[in-house]
Amino acid sequence: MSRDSHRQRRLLIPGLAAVGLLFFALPLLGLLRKASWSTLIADLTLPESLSALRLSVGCSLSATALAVIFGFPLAWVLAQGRGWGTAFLRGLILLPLVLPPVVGGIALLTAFSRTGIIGESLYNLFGVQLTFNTWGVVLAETFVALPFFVITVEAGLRSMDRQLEDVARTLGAGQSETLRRVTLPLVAPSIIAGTVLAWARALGEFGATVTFAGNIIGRTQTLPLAIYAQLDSNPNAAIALSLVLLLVSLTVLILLRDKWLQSI
Amino acid sequence: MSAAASLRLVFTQISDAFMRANPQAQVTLNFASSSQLSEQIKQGAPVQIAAFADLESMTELSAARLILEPAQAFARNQLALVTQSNAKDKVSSLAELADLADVSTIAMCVVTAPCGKYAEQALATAGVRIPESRITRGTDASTTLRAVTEGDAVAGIVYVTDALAALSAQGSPNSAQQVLSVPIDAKYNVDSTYWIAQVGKSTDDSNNALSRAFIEFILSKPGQKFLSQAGFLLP
Repeated sequence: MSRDSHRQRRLLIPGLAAVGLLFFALPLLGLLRKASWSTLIADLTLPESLSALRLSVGCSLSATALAVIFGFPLAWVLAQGRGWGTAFLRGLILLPLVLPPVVGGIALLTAFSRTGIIGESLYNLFGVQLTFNTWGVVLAETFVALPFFVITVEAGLRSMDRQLEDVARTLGAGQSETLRRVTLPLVAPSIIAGTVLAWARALGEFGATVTFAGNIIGRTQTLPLAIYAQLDSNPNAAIALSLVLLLVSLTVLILLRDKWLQSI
Repeated sequence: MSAAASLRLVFTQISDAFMRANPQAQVTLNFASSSQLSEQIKQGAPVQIAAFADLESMTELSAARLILEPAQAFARNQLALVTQSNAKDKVSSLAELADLADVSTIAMCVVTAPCGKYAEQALATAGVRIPESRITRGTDASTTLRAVTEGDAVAGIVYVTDALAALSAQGSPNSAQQVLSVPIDAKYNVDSTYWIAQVGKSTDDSNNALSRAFIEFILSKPGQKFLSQAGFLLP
């Protein structure tokens, strides 16, 4: 009897794992089955599909660059801090992770629209309007992607042996040299992982983008928006675009795993 | 039940009134564009009543043998322009809308949604062309309106009833922008009819009687009064 229950227990974990795997795999398989392979190339080379692909690549890369530029200093500050002040700051920065993206979009409107807190001056003084243009997409994507970079890099900085930095300084290295030759190489895996996670999040962004930057073909209609827009009119094209999104994301995440993600 | 997004306010009122009169009834409302709703129902969404802004979405359901009886017309609607009230962005006709589109963004529904289809018709009748690159497409009537009331779209084409609702919402101090509703010249305007029908495959469903009662309520005097108060025309 004890052997039987032992065996049952041994099967429990792989069994649950199999259910978990099916849960992810079946919808993806369904998508592959529903795809119209014969028209795939034609669907992907529609002008709307091409412009969505182009916009998605450009905007997600720009958003990732912004996330890295502003995210690293943020992660660095957070990793130094202790206590409630840091906890509050971290909560604030990580908020877009849990906020519904549409709410993020509305929040962005209150700040950057033509009647927003600083959007109004931007528009009146410089004629700059962020809403409904490609920069608005980049802004929305940065808003949701930044926390992914910050949280990953902060974890890397915290788990790093900070004494090595002190050693470098006692050996005469200045602050920037220490950063360049000690800190950055040590947290490079986290930086790369954070960059890719931020990019993947930016690529899939929908809610904040459609709310803040609208849905304009060729200007703000990125892949996820094009997929949603074409579900009614041209479901084949919508599925073809989804497959592209899946393929790209999966490839990157698989490549990343062996090299970098293991370390975090 | 599933209802076109332009029915959101009035159907919420009507279903509240209906549930007060029929305490055993529980009406759950699902709003989106009629074409999206029709697609959802075809995919098996558990819906007892469909109320759509065009006949086409309804015909799709009846072709798939998903409605129990011929659909009934229960209201009509027309299009209107909503525009920002400041002098610089204000438009008063479809032609002015096209001029404004050269420098700003205009909000319209996606062409698969009835409100987008009708807006295209109105523009075509008026001989006005607006390049796609100047149009932000809302997935249904309410997201389109929101691009004007909360976003930075300077103007948009929505239903008369949406425009009315936006105006009455401006009483609240929270509304971001002041918008105006401008009628579209009757020569170009599109008259749209709303249709309602029971969804299902067999008539012996236990909810059947209540669904029928809800449809009767909408077609009755009190139901029609709610609709006309919201700016809908009678069928």
